[in-house]
Amino acid sequence: MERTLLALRYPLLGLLVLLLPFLIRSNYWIYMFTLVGIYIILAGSLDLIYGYTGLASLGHGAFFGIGAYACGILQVKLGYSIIPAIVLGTLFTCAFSALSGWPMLRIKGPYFALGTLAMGSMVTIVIHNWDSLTGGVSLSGIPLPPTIEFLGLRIDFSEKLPYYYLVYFFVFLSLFLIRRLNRSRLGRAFQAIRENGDLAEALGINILRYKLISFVIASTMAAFAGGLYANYMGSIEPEIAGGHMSFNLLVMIVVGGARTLTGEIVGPLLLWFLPEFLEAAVVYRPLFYGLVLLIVIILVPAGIGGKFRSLSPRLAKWIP
Amino acid sequence: MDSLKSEDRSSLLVVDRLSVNFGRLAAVSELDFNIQAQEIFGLIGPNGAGKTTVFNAITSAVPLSGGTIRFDGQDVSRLKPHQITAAGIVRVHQSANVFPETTVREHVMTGLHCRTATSVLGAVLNTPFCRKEEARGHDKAGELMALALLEDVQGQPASSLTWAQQKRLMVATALATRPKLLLLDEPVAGMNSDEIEEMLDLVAAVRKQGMTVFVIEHNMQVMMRICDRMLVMNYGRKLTEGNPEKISQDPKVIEAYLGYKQK
Repeated sequence: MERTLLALRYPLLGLLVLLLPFLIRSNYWIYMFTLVGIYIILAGSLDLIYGYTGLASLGHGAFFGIGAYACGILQVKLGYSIIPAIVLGTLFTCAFSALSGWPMLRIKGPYFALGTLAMGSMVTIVIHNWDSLTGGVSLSGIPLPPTIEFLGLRIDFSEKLPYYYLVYFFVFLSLFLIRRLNRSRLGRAFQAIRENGDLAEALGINILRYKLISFVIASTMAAFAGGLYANYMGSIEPEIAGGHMSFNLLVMIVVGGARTLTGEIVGPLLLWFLPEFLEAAVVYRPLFYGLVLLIVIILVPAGIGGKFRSLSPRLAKWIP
Repeated sequence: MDSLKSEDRSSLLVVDRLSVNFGRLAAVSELDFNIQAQEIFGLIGPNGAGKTTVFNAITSAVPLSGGTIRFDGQDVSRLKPHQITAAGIVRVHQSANVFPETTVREHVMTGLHCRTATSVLGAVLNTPFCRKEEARGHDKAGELMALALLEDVQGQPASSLTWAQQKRLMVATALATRPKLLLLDEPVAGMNSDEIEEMLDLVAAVRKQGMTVFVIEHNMQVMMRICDRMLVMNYGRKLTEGNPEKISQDPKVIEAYLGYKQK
């Protein structure tokens, strides 16, 4: 009985995501949940670097921003259609992350964090100042995907629902990919690097190579989320690549609980919706994030997911 | 001179004029020795003689200041640590050096890394090759855990094990890299007599599988029992080399190493 229920938790979660729009029946909330979905992809991919591989990156937003801008520029300035734009934008960011990761991943601990922070700032400044390419303060006019007619079914992306499903399809895909990776020899290499880098190397693991693999995969996912974001919002600003964004993503993972699927989902949900329910003004949000982070670090350092898992082994089985 | 004679036979490791300097301090100078395939070769010497530095030099944890190290016919002096492991040399550290949160089974499987090949794509798609490799990995880990008497704790994180269990886990994980030469740095330090016997059984089993063992140990009784040949170091240099009997009677060794017992 328990086994059947355990096996059913993911299909049930999927069903909940499918039915959620019909329960909330509000375009505003569907819009909010769509954005949360994009944040779940971002937080999940950051968990691969931070949680699993143990590299505290403060520049994850940069790859989200580069992905979003590459995809937007390809469509607005160069006239590409959405699918090639997202694919090329993601590939471009993938290459960029490999080139920037190669030197950066040689530096360790706090220096790596500072390096990634600096890179995020540089990316923001470049986007801000390269007006002719990026539109400066904002790049607008990024179109929604065109309406599709498929087997007599008409999918019109100007309604909120289709994009919601599109985003959550990729949420499931990316979380699934992260799980698969972490259950393989690659996941063991990531974990070995996190727990004892010297021993990992002594056991024949090429540390730089596996750090780079983790970093590039996560950055590529973030870039793809950027493409989804750009096309959903229609206009994007340089700040999405900046330090605030990266910091917020890190807060989501720390608060939700690193290395737990629960954390990758609950972190973004909580930090997105709680200020909303508290009707906090946008300017106070960083303050709120800082406060939540402080409370969590002091009281539940393993994060919400980690805390629940540690309560009992029985509960741990239920909380992936 | 001993080393030159034995080089004609099948030398697995040939260390030639090895020097390691830390600034102006010569930790190891002009050290020559070689290790035959399938022997248990011991390295002894007073504290600070440079024993662990020799291990560090072989595994590329410190850069050589001079000399060469040849392993299995290949010059390994300039390889990176992970390449040394791939070439077939693995080292078990003196202190507890484990992945603390990793369960014993996963810990041993981590050692299989350099002998497995599943790629990112293979892992993501969970290809038949990936599944087969994982299954083989679990079998191998099971074997090694049985050998190291760790089957009962296979689901526990490494940090929860006793000191002796952690040491055996380190050996089992090292064995998973399928080494030809196993370096053991003080394998029985801090153990009680039962635990020492368990470790020696493990070393005996390793040797039975045809592996070569290079061991540093302060416990002379243990060294006399297990070693085929020994090298004695003092102040970074070779003092003498030979079988345990010869070593134990060498006046130079008694003076440098066991001297305090005579006083």
